[in-house]
Amino acid sequence: MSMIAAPLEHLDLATVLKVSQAVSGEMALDKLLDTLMRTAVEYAGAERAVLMLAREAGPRIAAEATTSSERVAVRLCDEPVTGALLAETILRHVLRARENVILDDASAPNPFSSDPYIARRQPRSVFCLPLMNQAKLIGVLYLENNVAAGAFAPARTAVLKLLASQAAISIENGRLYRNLAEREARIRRLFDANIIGIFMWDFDGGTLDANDVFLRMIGYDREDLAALRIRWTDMTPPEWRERTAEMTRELKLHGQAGPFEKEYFRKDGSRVPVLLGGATFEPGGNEGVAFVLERTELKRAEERYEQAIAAAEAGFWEWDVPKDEFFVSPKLLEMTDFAPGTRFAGRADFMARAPFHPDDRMQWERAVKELFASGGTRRTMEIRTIHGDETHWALLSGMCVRDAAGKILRWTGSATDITARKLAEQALREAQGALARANRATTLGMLGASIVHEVNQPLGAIAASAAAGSRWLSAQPPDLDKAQRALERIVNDSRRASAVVGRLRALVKRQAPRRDRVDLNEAIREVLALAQDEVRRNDILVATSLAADLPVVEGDRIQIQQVVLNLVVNAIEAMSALDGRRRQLTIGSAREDANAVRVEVRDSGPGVDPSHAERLFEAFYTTKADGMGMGLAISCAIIEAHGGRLWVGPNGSHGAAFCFSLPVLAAT
Amino acid sequence: MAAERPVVFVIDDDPSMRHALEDLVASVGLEPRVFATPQDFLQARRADAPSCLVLDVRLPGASGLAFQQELAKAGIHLPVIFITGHGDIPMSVRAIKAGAVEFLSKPFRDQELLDAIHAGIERDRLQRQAAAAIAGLQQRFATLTEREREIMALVIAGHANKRIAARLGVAEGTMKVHRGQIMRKMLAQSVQELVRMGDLLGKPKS
Repeated sequence: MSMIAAPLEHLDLATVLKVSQAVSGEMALDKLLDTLMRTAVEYAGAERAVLMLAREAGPRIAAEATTSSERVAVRLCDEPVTGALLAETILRHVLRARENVILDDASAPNPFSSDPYIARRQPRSVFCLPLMNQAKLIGVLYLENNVAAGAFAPARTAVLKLLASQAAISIENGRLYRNLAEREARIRRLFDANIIGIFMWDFDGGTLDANDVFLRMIGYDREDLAALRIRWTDMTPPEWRERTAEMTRELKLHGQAGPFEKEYFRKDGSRVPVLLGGATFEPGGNEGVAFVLERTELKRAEERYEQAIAAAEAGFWEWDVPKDEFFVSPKLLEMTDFAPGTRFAGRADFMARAPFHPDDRMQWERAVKELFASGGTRRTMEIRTIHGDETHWALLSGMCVRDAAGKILRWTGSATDITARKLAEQALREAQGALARANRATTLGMLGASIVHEVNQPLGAIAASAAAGSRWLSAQPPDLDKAQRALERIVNDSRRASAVVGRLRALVKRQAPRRDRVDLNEAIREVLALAQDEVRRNDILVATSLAADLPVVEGDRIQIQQVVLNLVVNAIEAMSALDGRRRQLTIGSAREDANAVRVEVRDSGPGVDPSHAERLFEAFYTTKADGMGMGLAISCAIIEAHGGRLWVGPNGSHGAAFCFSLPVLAAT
Repeated sequence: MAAERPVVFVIDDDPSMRHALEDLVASVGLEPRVFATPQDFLQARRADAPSCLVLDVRLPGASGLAFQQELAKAGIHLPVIFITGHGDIPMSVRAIKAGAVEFLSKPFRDQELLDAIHAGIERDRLQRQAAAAIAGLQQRFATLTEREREIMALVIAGHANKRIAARLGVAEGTMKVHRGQIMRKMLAQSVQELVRMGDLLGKPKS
């Protein structure tokens, strides 16, 4: 601090530069505030200084500096603004008018004479100035001197104004830096976890970084990476260039793209088929990240299917409708587990005895009935057959022959085994699901991990203070004074922990500037497609009731889909333990009123205990054994950032109904 | 050696964590010394007392793990106990391999930390005793004459008196006088003890 202790008359540009550098060089926010406060007090010749930082909910006191016998003490805090520390009317004026206030002698009559603080504390000189970064108010610095009038002479205030503008930039940077450092570490862990191939690229073809999975996939090593030998443009075979250009356009336009299929040349010239998705680091930026899955396994499954098709003879049936004679070819008998030569007493006999999945049998019968009634001739459907533990898939394709009067004479058709193709499709869906999950992990997951760290900090302090406090109390004799102080620290740290949650909400809100026109029904259908595997695996019946003429809403499509997906996954999880009762998931959309639409996700699970309903939306509250308690809190923040509301109620006698409303886009 | 109270050093950039740890350490009758940064710690005078260091993994500037290595390089052999807000297994393995006493994730149970602190202090106490013993030996060794040191090396290497005398070109009687002098100055009761002292001093045996 020696450079700041220079006598005032020696203040020159060099000193100002030094101070300005001391403030601008400090990235750690706590240290920056400490340096700023010391510098401000010593330069201005102030006795006290208070720093307010602007928050969404209004300014809060972030630091207070006091001097006593030539020493400056700085206290960092996060407290509401009160009239006990400063003249609030002056602060309000500075906040509103965004201009400096200088009182050379506050004890003389002035526009702020009636302020209770001035009346009580009678400061002599007061100087209050806004910290502005471009047009944005970052905070307010309040200085006072209770001894001398006119303490804040123009020469001093000029330096302070310079300092203030530098500090405003640095505080903003410090805040950003703190967020950034934490997120950077989280991204790194995902990157190094090597679950999925990841590489960072620029549009010019450069590969900035890649993890081991990706390098193995393309047969390069770290040396190639370091020597800039890996260029994704060169790795793209000619027939995939057009597709890749399409993806690049999408990335430039929307900031993300995929999942796409393409191929890469390996280092040895062979090819590797991949599935990839990507995102730019920032809108309009030149760099981004891509997630890559090798498709070789998938490709093999598809080839197996093609071979099977080539080799397969389809099974056939023929139904003489007037006589009710039902013929089944040997291949179809085999497909339906009947012994060769089995005969049937009419079609109904075959349908009842064949091992169709009950749901599919019902659907097929309904479709055939409708076809016969409608006068159409052809109908195809994919159905399941059950063989012990195995499920097979068959494509049924039927055709009916009518007489001149339209009466049905024959119903014939073929059955093709499509199990291999179905498995390939399922593998593809799973791969897509893995990609989607990886994408989500980079945003929500990372955010969660970083919040956990931040909240563990005050929790650690609380635990240690509580342990110390209880030891002071059980000492002989008890040290009540020290126990009291331990309790005070616990109270402060609890506030800090809850402030973390506030910051999380603020973060989500800050990320909502995207304004797409969102068709909610389409968004819901996409989410259901994504959750299809999960639905099937948990044996859940899905029903939708989507209003046909739903108006579009405005907002971030991905975020809204995250909310829907989160509610759907919650509903599935809620029903996964059900025994006996129908597992029914219902998703509905409807007009709430002229200005809003509503989406409902209903399940038939155990429902929500009304005494928990309020707390469900709090961060870190969970009823799941392995839950983090972040899903609903984040969903709630997303919906609120879109000007809507998220709530929960009972779904009839069984289950829960999670609903949210969003404002409709005003007609233009 | 001064029998001062054991000292517990704490480096954590989080002010409330720092205060809480300071108070917790004081509440069990140990002497806390807390610092916000590794630099503050390095600049402070350290008392000559058994001590250990409680270190946050995430420090401003260098990481706690890097600072642990820096300490070892600087010859400061303080037992280190790591605390972290969000630790992972590879990180803790690295820390323990580099000689850390314990690796605790926040929030931790107070007894876990205090046990680790006591273990650290005990480790330091033993290190200090060993260091003091060696320092005493070195002092005594310094009182030996050039010739006596030469003879001590040969004795340690296992040569008989007669051989040593012949090699140095002195009478065997003279040689025995030297040898008696060495045993007295080094406070060695037997040749075996002298050999052990030689090991501790790191003298070559031949």
